[in-house]
Amino acid sequence: MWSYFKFEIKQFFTNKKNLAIYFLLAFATLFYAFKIAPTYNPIESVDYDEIEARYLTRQEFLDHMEGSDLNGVHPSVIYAIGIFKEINPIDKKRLDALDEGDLKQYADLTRDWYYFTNSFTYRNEAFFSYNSKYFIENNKYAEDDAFYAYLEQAVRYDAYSKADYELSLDIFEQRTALQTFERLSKGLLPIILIVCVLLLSIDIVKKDQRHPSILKGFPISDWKKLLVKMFVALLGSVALFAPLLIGFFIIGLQFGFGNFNLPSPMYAAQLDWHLEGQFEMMTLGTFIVQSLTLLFTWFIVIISVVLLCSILFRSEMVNFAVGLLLIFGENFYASRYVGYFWDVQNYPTSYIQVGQIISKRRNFYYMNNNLDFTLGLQLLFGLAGVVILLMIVIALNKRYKLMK
Amino acid sequence: MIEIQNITVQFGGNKVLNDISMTFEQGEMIGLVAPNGTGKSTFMNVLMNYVKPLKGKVVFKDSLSYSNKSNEVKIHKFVSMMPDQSDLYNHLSGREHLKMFATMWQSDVKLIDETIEALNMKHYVNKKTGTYSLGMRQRLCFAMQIVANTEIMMMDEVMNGLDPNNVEIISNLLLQKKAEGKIIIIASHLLDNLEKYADRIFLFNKGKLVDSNQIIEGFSQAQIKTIRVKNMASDTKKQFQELFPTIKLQTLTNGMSLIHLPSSEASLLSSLTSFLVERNVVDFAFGKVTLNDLYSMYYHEDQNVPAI
Repeated sequence: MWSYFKFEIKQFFTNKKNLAIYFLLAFATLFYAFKIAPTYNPIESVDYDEIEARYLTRQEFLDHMEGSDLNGVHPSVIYAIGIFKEINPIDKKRLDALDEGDLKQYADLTRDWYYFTNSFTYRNEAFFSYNSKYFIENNKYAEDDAFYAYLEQAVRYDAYSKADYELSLDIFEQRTALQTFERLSKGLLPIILIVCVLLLSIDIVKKDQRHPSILKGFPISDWKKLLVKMFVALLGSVALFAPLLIGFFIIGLQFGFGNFNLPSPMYAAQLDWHLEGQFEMMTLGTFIVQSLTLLFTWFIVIISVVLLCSILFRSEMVNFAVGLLLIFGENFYASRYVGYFWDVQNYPTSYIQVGQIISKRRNFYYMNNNLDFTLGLQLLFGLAGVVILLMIVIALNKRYKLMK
Repeated sequence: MIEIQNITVQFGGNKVLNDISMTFEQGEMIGLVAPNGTGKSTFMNVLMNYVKPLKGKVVFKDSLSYSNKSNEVKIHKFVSMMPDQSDLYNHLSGREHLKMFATMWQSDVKLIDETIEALNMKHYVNKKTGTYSLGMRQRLCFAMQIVANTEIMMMDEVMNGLDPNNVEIISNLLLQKKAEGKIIIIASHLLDNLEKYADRIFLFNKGKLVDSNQIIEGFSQAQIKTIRVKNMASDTKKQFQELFPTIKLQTLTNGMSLIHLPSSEASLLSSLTSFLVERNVVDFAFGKVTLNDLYSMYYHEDQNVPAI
């Protein structure tokens, strides 16, 4: 078996298609690290000028209204004065903290700023509005997204205010290498990696059909061959992180690496989601470990499904189609808040947005309290287990031949 | 030992192998001869369990047969079939192929260098097989099976694309393996070579394996049994039949006429020689029926020439 493993691993890592995948991923990573990461412009940035402009405008308004007779003025003016009197001192102190370089103080104040701002902005569009960047692309749910983001920021800054590690603006803006990985994990990165795994494993059985007389007589049983192939594909999938690590180091050298104790808020889905929306704190280390665990489980699912399809249909196109169906299957039913009506937590495909599952942003998206890391693992491992069992049963059948 | 018991293989209505039973012993080199598409490869594929017979079974040592998947793996540890040159990995070197087979069959790695040396592959074995000529690929495939070093080796058209020198080199290596007690089964169209080295030669006919000794009695014995005459004129044939009515004259499609001798008495040989020389027939030889003749006789005998 060890000999076959060595043979397969050599095949895998000399396969031109596989090398092209690693090369393209490395290229994309370098492009991201050198071109995209430095220009990352978060909506919730630490923007001194913006805070100052907002502060000065409000202060000018307050100064203008100071001493004025408010009898007969529009109630919204009185409302604005009330709000501005609350928020402006916070902004002033935030500016002072930034001037003094007291980032802990800035974090402490910013936490309050986010909580307070959220409380008067959400569902109050007649008077206040969130950052306009939330409203691009006709986002019907911009209010909700901003509400979520503000709460998340508040929790992050709360953690920063109690931090026993050195703070930086890059940490606040989630630019460090580890935080970049966190951000990407909540976006397309897991799907890109899973598609890469699909492409890497798609021909792992079929490729043998080009060399039948060499391989057919190997003294190793079909089911063992399949398990070895699976293990090799898994190792190959883990190797996808090698190009990512290059990018990680480049970003780390530019913006710092961050640390595993940084906060990574998790939406507290068990609470009343809108009115009492809250977050629980988890460390970035926990987030990364859980994300990688779920991602790795997805790798196992994809590889085992590809192997099963390979022995059933013997067509790379079928493998590709079934793999894509698994990866993008969520799109057939995913829509905002649909989890309130359907038990989306019971479909393995609902767990494809790995980072969003761990941070429970997906629960917020679906309005479903039950999407959960543990349940996701159980479903995916269950699926992989059934598929692997089926594969072994077929391979053990006396009539079945892996190579025809 | 290989015991073939009542093997029948049928594709559609065509019985490619029809109730074949025989035994091959250790240290035997078996030659299989037949025109293309008559079942040689199918026979080997049955021995490897690549083709499931409709009936019958193949039994190896310790009563192992292909009754389950586990047995198949056990059997494949000591039975191998030479790979086809078109199946080589073009991006791997010859040495990598040899290592692959040596590690898969856990044979002595020293065999790799010994085989490279024996087959004169040193100058190209480290290059990618994509750059090899047909002969180089063929030698590599043979070398792969040699380094696998299994007790039973099967080779389909092992001498294809090889020059006479390499045919000789490979033949000697095969003799060496045979001396080590291995069963070697070779299907080949290089009949002279097969005749020279094989202990037993079988011809395929209508799904049956026929021992060459059954076709011509004493085929494998070195006795003067035939006069082989090249391009014998029809007049001469007629005169021969008139003068020697009891002696069988047979003309093959390759133009060769065979005079089957009832005995090797000197007087008979002398009178036959005189008969031929008097009619200016000089291209003839005494000896036995060759495998080439047998092949022609068996598969392409000119039906228009009456045999006496």
